[in-house]
Amino acid sequence: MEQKLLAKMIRRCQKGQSEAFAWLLQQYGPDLYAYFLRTSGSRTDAEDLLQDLFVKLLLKIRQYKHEYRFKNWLFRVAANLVRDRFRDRGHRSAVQSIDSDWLEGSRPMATGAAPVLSPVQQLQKSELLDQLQHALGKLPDQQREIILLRHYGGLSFKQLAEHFDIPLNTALAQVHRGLKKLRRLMSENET
Amino acid sequence: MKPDNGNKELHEILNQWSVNPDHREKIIREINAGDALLDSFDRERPGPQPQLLARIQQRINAHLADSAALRPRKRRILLPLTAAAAVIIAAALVSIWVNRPSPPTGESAAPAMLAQSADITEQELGLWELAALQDETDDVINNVALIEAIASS
Repeated sequence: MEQKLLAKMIRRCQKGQSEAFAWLLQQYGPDLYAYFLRTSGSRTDAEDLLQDLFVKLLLKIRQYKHEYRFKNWLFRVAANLVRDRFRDRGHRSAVQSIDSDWLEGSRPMATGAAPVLSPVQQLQKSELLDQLQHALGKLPDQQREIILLRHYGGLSFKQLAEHFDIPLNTALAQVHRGLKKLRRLMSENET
Repeated sequence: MKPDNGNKELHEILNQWSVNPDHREKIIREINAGDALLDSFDRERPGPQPQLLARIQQRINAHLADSAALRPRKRRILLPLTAAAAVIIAAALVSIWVNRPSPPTGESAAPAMLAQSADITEQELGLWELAALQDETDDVINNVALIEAIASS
């Protein structure tokens, strides 16, 4: 994404221009939705969180200073929203089988001509996505959050350490252990 | 998907820690393999429904319209309030100015004023007070002499 265009759009959002928010929603909405979906394990939660985030953004965007990378900043706001939601609720949403109906209810992220899948292929694909969600659900909360925030928000180890208020080596170790465990869980499912 | 500087930062951190080269390569390999696993699922992950995006845009528009409508109303309320506050502050300043304590004058102020002066010594101050007392005594003596003269005439 062109940085000049992004900076221009952010400034327009800061002035309260609706079209600029529409642009941001189009640019970041899919990544944010995927992040919320994987973090909460619930489609309803992901939809609510995405709405809440953009409402919050209406007020918060004035605080954004252009010295930080916007995507990192945006995902840190998103991560705080997730944390607040589950703290209020007192527990994390159970990891559900969120992907089993995604082919019917959602549109896939991949752009371009999507291959037409047979019912069997569709089933296999949704099973795999289900397995990933279950594997993510087996990780400790902070480990999962760190991995997802790094993956979707593009946060560096240093930014992760700052955000979670942990030492840099802990952030790196969490990512390493989490990803390793994720791979192990996925390969166990395959066998 | 991973941070732009993902591997660069990873190398830098591991270099700082002086991790054993074999162990370092293993860590990097495992992190990269994990990233690749997550990337492979991203290609077919579910995206938000268009209706959801439309609903969010509606909420944003409604919120922006509300704020825009609120701004002149706020101005209508805030302007008279600001003007009233300015009048009150001006009145308070005038009142303070009018009721300010008057500067000390005359003989009573002289010792105190002199005491504030850095040049005057305690001894000089004592002499000044003594002189003042002498003046008062002289007045009393003169008055007594006057009364006696009137009485005797």
